Amino acid sequence: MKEVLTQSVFFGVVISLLCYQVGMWVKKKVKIAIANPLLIAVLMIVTFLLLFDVEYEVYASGAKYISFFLTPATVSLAIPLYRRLELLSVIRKQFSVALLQVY
Amino acid sequence: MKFMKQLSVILTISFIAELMEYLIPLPVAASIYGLILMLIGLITGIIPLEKVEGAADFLVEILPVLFIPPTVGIMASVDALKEMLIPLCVISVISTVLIMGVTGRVAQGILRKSNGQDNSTQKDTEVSVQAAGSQEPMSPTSAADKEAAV
Repeated sequence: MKEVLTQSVFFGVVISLLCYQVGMWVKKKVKIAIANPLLIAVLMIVTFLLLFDVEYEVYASGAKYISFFLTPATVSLAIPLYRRLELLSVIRKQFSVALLQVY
Repeated sequence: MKFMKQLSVILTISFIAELMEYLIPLPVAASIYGLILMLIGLITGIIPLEKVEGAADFLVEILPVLFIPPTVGIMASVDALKEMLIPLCVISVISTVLIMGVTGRVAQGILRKSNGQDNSTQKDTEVSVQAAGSQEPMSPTSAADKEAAV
């Protein structure tokens, strides 16, 4: 059984997505800020891995395909930012200084 | 096909950003270079919005999911973290509050300066103070009051 988990690259992806969906469901039910879907998903996955004695590397071998998109997604954050720039028609100089401060 | 083209644009920028991270000796992450590149591309019109829109919106929507694997990764280094758990928590909280405060203040300072020159932008700039993440958006009048008090 464990060999199947170890060899399947889908294991890490599937458990991440399922746990996040459970997290979103919980968030919708309880409606408190601490019930963050991300936090719930992470706690669930960690509990699962510890409970069934699955090593992090096994999980990571599949989950790395999710985090692959982290850089492109951060790059994509420029799109909502650009839309807001257009929307507010704020003087560019002001916004870019504020932007520089954030980083 | 459209989605695929949009994704290639985003991935190309990510790749250039990674090259920049390698070539430029600054402690800046590749994703930040990428974000700035993309923003410059959009503002200058080199990258039309519709060439990246769909794929970008999708990626932004699933952004929290992408943070799951790195966060679970904390469990792999939990021993190393145990020793510095308290300093780490303090640093996170203080630096978050500090960044929000300083950003807001600096934005306010700049806005106040330009408000003096042009009052017609007052409404726009007020909104942008909130957008800049200031916790205490201050109306130009109350800001002026405070200044007078000082």
